[in-house]
Amino acid sequence: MPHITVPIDRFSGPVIALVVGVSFAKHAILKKQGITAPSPVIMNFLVDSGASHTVVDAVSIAPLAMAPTGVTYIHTPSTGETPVAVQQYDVSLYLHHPDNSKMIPNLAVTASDFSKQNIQGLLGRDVLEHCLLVYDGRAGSFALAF
Amino acid sequence: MKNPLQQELETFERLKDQLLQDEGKFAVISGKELLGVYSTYDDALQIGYERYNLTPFLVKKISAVEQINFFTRDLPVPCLT
Repeated sequence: MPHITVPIDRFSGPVIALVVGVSFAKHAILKKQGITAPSPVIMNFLVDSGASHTVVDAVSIAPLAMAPTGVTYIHTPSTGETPVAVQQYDVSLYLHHPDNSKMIPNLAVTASDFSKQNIQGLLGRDVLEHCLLVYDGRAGSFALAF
Repeated sequence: MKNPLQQELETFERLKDQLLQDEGKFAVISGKELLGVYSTYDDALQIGYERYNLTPFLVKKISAVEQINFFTRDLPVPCLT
């Protein structure tokens, strides 16, 4: 199983760089129409087992010119008893590995504001459920196998 | 914040009893039109783009009970009305 080992960031925690682009489904239709797809964006994601799905920073994905293709409902510590409806966007997610890179061609994500948090997204359990995550606090690193 | 997919959501709710025959699959809706029901998110998204190109459409998983996503941290997200 290919894996990568990354130092745990002293302030942000287990952060991993991923490439976010338009979904393969959207890319295909853009290509068919002769439209150049926006360039993918490299973003730092906090590996977050407390997030049930993946979230991206709204400002960071602005170059991708996303339009919503879904609606979902979320609960956070401040939403109270009633979940709130938020938009979903379809993206592709790429994790580089020298021998066996991982690509998720079509993934539904929501967008939020991470501008004050030194990260550009949360890598949630919708992706982690396909991975093996080892958090080695004593060594100051974590490993993600996929 | 106004929901740009409000009409599609209303269509989904209107057709929900019928759609629940395919619980677990994904519905593709644009406006008041149900394009179809597909087994995977990838298939639904691909066919949605092929049919509607870059005009708005909704891909939604069919479930009797709405799936709620939980986060242990606050997320400043624009709530839809």
